[in-house]
Amino acid sequence: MNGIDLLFKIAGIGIIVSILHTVLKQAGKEEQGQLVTLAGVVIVLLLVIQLLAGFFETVRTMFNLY
Amino acid sequence: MTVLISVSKLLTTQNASCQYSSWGLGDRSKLWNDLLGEVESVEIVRILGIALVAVFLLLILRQLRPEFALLGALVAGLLIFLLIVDKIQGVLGLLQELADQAGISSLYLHTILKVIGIAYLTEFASQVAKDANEGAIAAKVELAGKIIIIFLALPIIRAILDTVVKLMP
Repeated sequence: MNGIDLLFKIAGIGIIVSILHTVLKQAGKEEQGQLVTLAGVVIVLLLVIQLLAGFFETVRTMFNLY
Repeated sequence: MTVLISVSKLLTTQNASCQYSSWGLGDRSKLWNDLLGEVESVEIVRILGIALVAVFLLLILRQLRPEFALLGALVAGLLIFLLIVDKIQGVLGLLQELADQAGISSLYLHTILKVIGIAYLTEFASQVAKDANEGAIAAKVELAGKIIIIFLALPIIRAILDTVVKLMP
């Protein structure tokens, strides 16, 4: 299953980013924490964007949308 | 339940058990596929599994990082859609066949299909926007979808009006 892997990946990245954010906040580095969150969102977005493009392509070919 | 009864009947009848047992152990799944293939209950179990896994993951993730939960919900929706794509294609193929047999102009069927596709895409995007608590953007997306659907239906509306005008003395 390729698909459910993606879901677990997103959940894993989210949990790791959340932990990093908490640790950095405790260390008094709020700005780095925000940057880590931003980087995590970008990484997950890169993972999702291919699936989303495939979805749009499928719908377009299926319903004759050009 | 009826499927299970039919499976047990098939397994107990001599003919079927001979047929399937001669193919070895791995062919029991083939039997299941033959019987359940028409009912498609295997597919719905997979979809439910993905949905429940996604729900529990996102339940935890939403408290930690809501932005990741949003993307996760998006991915779960896409996965479920990808599992039902070939079913939708079967339904659309049947519609196309019926339209061909009935001699309906393909203009109408293609317009209807386009409307359904746009409605599905719009609904998807507006649900994602609503999940992110952006109700205003969701409403705008729905408005845009409605306008585009009306625009697509213009040739059909015009054809109906022409017919009505021709019918009038």
